[in-house]
Amino acid sequence: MIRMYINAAFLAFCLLFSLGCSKVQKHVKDYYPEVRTVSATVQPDGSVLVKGEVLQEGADPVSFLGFCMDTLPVPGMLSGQQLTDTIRDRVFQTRYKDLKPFTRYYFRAFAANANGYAYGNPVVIENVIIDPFIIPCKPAADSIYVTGSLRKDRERTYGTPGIRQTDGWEVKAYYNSYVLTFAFDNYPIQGEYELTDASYPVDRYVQVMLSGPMTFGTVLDGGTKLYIKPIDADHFELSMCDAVLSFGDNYKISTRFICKKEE
Amino acid sequence: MLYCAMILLGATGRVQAQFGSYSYYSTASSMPFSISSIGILANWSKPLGNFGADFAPAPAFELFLETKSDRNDRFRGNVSFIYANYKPRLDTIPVYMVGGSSMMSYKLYPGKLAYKDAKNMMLMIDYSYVVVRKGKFDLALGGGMGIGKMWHEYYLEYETQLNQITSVQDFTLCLRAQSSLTYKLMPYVHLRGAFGYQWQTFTNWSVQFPVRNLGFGLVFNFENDDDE
Repeated sequence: MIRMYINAAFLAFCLLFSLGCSKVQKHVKDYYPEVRTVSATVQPDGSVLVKGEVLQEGADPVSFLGFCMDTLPVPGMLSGQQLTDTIRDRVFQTRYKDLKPFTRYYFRAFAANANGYAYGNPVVIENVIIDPFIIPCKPAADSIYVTGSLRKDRERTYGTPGIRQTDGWEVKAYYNSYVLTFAFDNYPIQGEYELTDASYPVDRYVQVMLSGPMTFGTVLDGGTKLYIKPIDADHFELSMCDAVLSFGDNYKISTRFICKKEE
Repeated sequence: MLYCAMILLGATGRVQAQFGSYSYYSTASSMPFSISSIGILANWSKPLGNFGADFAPAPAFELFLETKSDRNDRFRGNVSFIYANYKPRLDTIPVYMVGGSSMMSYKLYPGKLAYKDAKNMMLMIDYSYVVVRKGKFDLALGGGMGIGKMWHEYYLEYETQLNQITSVQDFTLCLRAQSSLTYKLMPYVHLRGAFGYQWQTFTNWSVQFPVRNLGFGLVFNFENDDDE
């Protein structure tokens, strides 16, 4: 009777142990995940969408997925690292914002499991510019249009070099005795920005203010789009279409001019 | 040590451990155990789990003494000394460290881990039962536990962190389950094949080192089994 109990306990013990067995991988690389960097494409807003694919999870489930990015070939994990927790059909992605136009960037996917990590192949973008760059209106170059119930002007203007403010960066455009001031959170890169009446615009928002003898610094209404198109490494073109100025009557202001970027 | 091992093996009975002309007796028992054979097994030891990625399969040598309660009994006990020296599979293992406190702020720091080797020594006490005895063959299932020590030296480096070279000697607790097939080649010499799963943990309980063993060896009996 005692032996029966001993045997039963012993068999249970063996069973428990055998449950703990795991597969031994013949090739050491099979312990690690395998990923590839699928693509890196410039989006309409100037960001870069990078996609990766998990080819093989490895001996353990993948615990981290991400990308790294650098202007040097073969970026390391700490360079521009972005992790992602969303994967669909083995494909994962992330978005890099505010990359400089006319600069070569390298992207690499990576994945990690309990055993370690592995990189994918590097993918390069030669020039981070939006192509095609679509602006819904086309004001004449170096111009400011003001349309409204009282006046309809077109004046020649120019953009000043950027002037750093304490909390951002701005560019000014002049016409007659008026000044349009575009206040950004940072140097504008490219793509769409949106007008806001907030005092401290952030990210992709810009505050536009009209100053002059009659307006004393009136902020244009929020919501209108503003477009930054890079011309070369040092210049960009700023376009704004029918931004609303609620000053007594509604005025609409459109402009397009080239500005030199200065840091 | 051997005396203690024998007491453990025969905890419910009288212990009689005989080796050569020496005999040891425990007084609180009625079931005799005696050392009936000595054996050696050469195992092919495969680290499993995360350690399977780090260390290559390696030979592990096992020297054991075997006891029987009596000739016809199917129970037997073993005291084994096991030695293995595992070599790393890669020169450097791509490891990483996670920084940050939430998914939004996690950051992975890549690193390199390089093992020199891992020497493992253990003293095991096993208990097995012959489930099938047919002709010259014995098929036994068993399990046991033991203690030991593992020595390993490694070099660990994370980007943005100081490099570390660490030599560790860690006590280990081992459990294992094993099946063995014994063939009575000659009256005093048996051939044995064994297949087992071994699980070790260390002073740091979160680290586990599972191993799968496949071994072949010889068992030398002190008594002629044909006398049975």
